[in-house]
Amino acid sequence: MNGTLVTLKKELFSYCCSPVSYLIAVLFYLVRGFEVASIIAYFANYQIDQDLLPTSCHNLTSTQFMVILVPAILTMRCFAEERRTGSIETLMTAPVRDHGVVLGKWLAAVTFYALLWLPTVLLLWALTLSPFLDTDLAFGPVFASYLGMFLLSSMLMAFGCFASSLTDNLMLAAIVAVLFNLCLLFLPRLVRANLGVLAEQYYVAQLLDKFDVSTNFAQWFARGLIDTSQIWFFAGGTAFFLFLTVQSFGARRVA
Amino acid sequence: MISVRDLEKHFGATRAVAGITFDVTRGEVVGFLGPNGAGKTTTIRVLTCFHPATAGSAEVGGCDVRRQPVEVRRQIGYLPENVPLYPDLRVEEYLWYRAALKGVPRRQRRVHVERAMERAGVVEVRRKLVGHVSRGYRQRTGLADALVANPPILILDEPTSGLDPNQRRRIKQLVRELAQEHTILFSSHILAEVQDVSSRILVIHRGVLRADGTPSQLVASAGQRSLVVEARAAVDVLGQCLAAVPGVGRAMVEDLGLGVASFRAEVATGADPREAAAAAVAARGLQLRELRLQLPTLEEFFYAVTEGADRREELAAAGGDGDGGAAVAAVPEGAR
Amino acid sequence: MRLRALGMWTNLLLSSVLMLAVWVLLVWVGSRPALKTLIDLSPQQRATIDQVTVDLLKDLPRQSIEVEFHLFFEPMGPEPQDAFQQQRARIMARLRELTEVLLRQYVFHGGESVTVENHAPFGDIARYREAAQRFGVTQGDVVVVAVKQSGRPPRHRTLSLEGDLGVVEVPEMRQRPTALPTPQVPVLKDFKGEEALSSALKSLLVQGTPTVYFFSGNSGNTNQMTSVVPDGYAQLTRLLDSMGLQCREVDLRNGVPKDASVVVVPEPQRQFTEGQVRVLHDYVAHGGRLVLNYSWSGNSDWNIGAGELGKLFGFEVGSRPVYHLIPDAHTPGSTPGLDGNPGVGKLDLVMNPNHPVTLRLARGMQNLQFDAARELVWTDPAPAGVRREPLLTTGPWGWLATRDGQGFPSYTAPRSQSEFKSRMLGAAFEVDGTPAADGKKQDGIVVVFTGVFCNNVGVGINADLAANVFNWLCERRVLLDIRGSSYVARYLKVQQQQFDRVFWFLVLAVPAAFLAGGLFVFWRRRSS
Repeated sequence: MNGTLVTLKKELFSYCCSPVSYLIAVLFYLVRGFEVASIIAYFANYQIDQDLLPTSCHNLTSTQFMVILVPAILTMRCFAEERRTGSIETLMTAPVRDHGVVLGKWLAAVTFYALLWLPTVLLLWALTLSPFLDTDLAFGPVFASYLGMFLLSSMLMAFGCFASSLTDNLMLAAIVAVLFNLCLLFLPRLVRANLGVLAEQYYVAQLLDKFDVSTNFAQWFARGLIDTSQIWFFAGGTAFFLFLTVQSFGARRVA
Repeated sequence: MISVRDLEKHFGATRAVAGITFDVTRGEVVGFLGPNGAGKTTTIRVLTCFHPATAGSAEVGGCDVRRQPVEVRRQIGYLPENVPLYPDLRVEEYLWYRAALKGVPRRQRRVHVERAMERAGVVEVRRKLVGHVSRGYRQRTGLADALVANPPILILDEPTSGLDPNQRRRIKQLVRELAQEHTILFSSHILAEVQDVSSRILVIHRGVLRADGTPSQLVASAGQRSLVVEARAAVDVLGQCLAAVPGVGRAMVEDLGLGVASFRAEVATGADPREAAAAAVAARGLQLRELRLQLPTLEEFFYAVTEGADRREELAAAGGDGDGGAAVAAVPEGAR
Repeated sequence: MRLRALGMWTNLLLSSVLMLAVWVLLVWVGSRPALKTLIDLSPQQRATIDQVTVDLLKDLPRQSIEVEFHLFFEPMGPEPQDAFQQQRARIMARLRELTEVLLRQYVFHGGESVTVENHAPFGDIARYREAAQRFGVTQGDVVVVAVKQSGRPPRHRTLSLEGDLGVVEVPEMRQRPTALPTPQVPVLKDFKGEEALSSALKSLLVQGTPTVYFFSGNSGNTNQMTSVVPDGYAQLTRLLDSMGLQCREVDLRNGVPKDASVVVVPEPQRQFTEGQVRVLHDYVAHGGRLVLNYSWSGNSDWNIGAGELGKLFGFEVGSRPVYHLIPDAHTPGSTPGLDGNPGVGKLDLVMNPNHPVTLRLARGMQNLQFDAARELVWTDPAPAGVRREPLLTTGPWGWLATRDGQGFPSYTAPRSQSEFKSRMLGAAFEVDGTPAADGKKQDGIVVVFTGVFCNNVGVGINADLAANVFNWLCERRVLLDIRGSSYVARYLKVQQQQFDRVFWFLVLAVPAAFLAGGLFVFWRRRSS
């Protein structure tokens, strides 16, 4: 566990010092700012029940960007960079266990991602204050979305770490991770639409259901409902990909 | 502290290390010498548990590298060949991180890091980003990293590669200082350094250990010593004068011009004909300019056991098909 | 060497497969009903359902019952032009969303016994048509609750999103396009999804068929229920039968039978006796449903007033018939002429768009008519514990006819404008229940019409009204004891100044803060 904490601190520090992180943050909040402002205008002009406001803030372009691209960008350099520069040698010859290192890097990525998202919650809270909207919004869906996002991102980043550990080419790792994210978000619906009758079959339907991450998100987490069975899905997926990463990372020792 | 038995490492079909056996005892400074691609780095990587051995065994500080890798790594301070560091951290931040990673307790971290920085000589660049310091400082940072947990064994892979002569001298000096407290195994292809610093030398070539001994032992088995005398005399006079000196073998006399001649002769093993030669020249009344016993160089030895040995093998293989023994005997002495 | 590599790869493969199996196992375990929970953080907890519903749903597998919720939602059309329709569209969208969220809970607790199917007309057309036909769905925005139980024929109940699940208030009763009032925007007042859905479900599951009792003791014809003459009620009986209700005659001497879902008094021509008043009032006070269908007769003796019963519930029935002017159909927006016309006895009904019974009819602009009717008037003040709501009125040009020289009601309209107003022809009364022996109480309902609406002739025109009335009354019969919290819809009121601040904060201040942070970090790291 020592290795985990040390790696976590160091990686988190690296993320916070890297200009790319700030670029991502500026871009994300700029686009999101426009979108949230226009949603507020829409709600005010058309007299829409304000309880829907937090839910509407979910399905935005900026959110898609954050979910599809950013986890891949954050994790692409986890292991690939180390292999490229050769610092993997100093890492693997230090008296730390493989799983400690993997866990530390993954945790750092997830923590940083959560930190990137945190201002959205704070912003919404700030908007309820007097100089702005001076109303109180329902924060239940906000917290539920945040939790859902956290779970989803931990799984995406576990895969990103895995992709990163397979190659020493950063770009390749990023592309593989982005492809995975896209598949996870869009494939189940596509499959379900095209399978026709087969999709009715019990096990296939169950499988598609569990993997249909975007629908689950939009219809459960974004509305403020947390179904614990989905938590298990994300936790299991995260564990699976982290396991693969540890195997891949340590493969050099075994080969 | 380190013992390697019949170590083999194959990468697919390539045999990088083909069965080497050696020991390093406590307090020794062992130089690992070999041409590029000989298998030095591979052997070191097996010792530091970066690669697993294909066959054979290695033990560091009593722990087997295959079964107790973490304990092995705990005992080693390793400086890899390219000194890979993290360019976005400051030097001291990097060392703090490495100290923590190596399990230095929090309370002692500051002391360890300060001491490592002092010994490696990077105190003046402690606040600079690693990516911004010069090559020499990077090397020293890597060295500080190897030292930070104060391990009993230091393994340095080409610690002076890419450095200018002054920097190299500094590193050599440092290694000498460190030798007082640590057991050091370092690799290099620069003979002079290895010769200066090591108490023992291992020569590896094509994955096989070709020599193992102290510098003087190796040098002694290298080649011929020579007696070199320079005097103001005629070529034949000088030759005659010195031919009779005991211990002097086949000679070669050369006219250096301006009335100066140079006498060079092989010296028999164990003989030291310098005093006798000086007396002979004085007896003849010649003006002596220079008198020295030329030792064979490590370079000659190195060539002999590496490329020289390769050539012999090639010729042996070629000669085996043709003339047989006669061809073998025709190999000139000097090429040995 | 090869062997070792092979062994290593096999090991890796096996462990990966094992890990995958662990993942699947985790998901499966997590989906077991015993281990699943749903944490509801939705606004105003609209998605948390009452324990009563949870118990109802959890009981389904045990009884091998399958419940299907079929959603027939209107597709989003082009943005309507006027504010009223726009707002209505938004309200419907909100109701759809609330219903979907609620049904998620039902699925969650019901597990495999509950399925939700959202029929989109532009999705699988064949499936949509087949389902619409099966359930007799003709208009959109309905939820059909269907129950399949082995050994019993499948049954279903249709609920309207707007009328049954949501409580939408329209400020004024809307009239036909020729009428004058300008519409204001409707407002979503409450969402009673759980009550409606669970009640419908429970009523479908309940053993035994609801019974409608007819009390014809005070009426003219005694064979009302089976009579096929124009003013008989055979058609109504058949209609109720098709809705799954059985019809019986009752004689109130021994009180109202225990299994009575509704008691109907068709066209009473004699006043109720004291005993009958007491029996009926008692019945209503203990959660009973009563339909009083007064009528107008040429024989003035039969045009009885509401009597004691009326006093108890707070209404009175006038003795004169209500007539209405006919506006010029060829000139839209024309005011009705003051000349009499023989057809004025037929009354076109204006329906209350807010009441569940008439709401769909009002929105659907259906043409319902009474052949003849008297006026229903409320007493003032209302009796304690009674809430009254109008269901049907005439248009704004209704007047009370006076007898002419021959003793018939004159079709000549009065001269004075003040005689013309909208006359009430039907109303619903909710009566607070009195606590029973076990302390439970249930509110009773009385529906009063002052014109014949569902005899064999009337049912032909007003079948929907009849169906709605009985549907509504029977459903409420099995209302579950659900303490739903009231749903408060809140709307954003933002001034331009506030919005400007919001905009600049979100678009400028926040990204700039990150940019500044980044530059600061960059500068600090560069300097040593």
